Amino acid sequence: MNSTRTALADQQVCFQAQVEIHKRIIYKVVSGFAWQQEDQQDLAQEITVQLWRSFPKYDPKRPFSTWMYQVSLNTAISWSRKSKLLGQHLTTSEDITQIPDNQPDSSDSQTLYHLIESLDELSRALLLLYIDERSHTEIGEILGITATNVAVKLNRLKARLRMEVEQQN
Amino acid sequence: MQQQEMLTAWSELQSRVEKAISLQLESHRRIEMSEGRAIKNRARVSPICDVAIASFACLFIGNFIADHFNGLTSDPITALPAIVLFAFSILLINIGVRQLILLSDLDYAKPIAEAQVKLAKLRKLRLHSTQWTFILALPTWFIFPILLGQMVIGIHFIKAITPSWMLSNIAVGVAMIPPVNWLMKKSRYSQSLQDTIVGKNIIEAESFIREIQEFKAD
Repeated sequence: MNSTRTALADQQVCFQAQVEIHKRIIYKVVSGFAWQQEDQQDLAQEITVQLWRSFPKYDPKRPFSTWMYQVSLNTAISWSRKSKLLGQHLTTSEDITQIPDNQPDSSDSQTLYHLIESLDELSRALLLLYIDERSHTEIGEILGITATNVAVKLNRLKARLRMEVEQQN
Repeated sequence: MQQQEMLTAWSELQSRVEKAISLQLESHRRIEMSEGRAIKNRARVSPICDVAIASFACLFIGNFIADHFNGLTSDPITALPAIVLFAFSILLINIGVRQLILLSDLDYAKPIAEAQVKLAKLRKLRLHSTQWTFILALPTWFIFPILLGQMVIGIHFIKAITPSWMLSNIAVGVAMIPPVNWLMKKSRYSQSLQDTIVGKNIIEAESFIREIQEFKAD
């Protein structure tokens, strides 16, 4: 009984340390899927819970960040779809500007928010991983598609973004 | 907009989000860790309950049919309520077992395309379970007292039933829809429940599965 408790405590310590190192992944994923502060908090909590639930199956041979991205994105996609079906979170990326901040939004930020918002969940995950400068192979591993497919999809996304920027200008 | 510009824009967005959630996330982490794994099994509760109740109903009805086999075969109409409920219970067991199989294999650390297909299939099964329960429960509610009468006091009420009686009871079931609908509207899940019953959510789950398959194959 005591050894089980100690093992669990060790696991908790290890988990917290790893999440602390990679916590920006949670912020990144939340940034791409939730716009309102309340939703962001809700999603961040859900991701943390899911990470803890999945942690016993984590294979230490794999990079923690890849594993964390997979769990976080899967949770965010499910959360986003569930929210849509329940008719919640009808607000748009305009709400992000309501978060207190002294910095004004640049036009690039606005374009990026709108582009992210207009994408389907899978493309959104792809774009987030690309912005985070992950390799095509790693993106493919996280999404479950080939590196070639990643390259093709990214080219399409970039072309779409370029077109939107040109239209705005 | 090139990658560098995107990165700058992205960090702007992220810093806002970080400010918004970092403190809150920290205060919740400890509570979540103690409760998180207990919550893990909650997803299994609903299909386990469905399977347990439907299995119990199957055993109960099966036992009743076996005990009264001669009587029921000589007058097949008296076997109708038992057969309808038996078939419905088998349907629920089938849906429940398939949900449990999918749940046992569900892993959020799997590649997104794979995990999301499983989640969508799981959702579809859950929706079917809710949809069938609602669709069948209202117009067939009178089968329950008939079967109970047969099982408990041995009176075959079905023999006394005329087609007009049966139709009027189905009409009562249909007439129950507006008050049930009103009750559903009181719930925050009402729209979702209504969409499930009419099959809109099931179509949506199917289209998401197709979307993922196209994403993989593209």
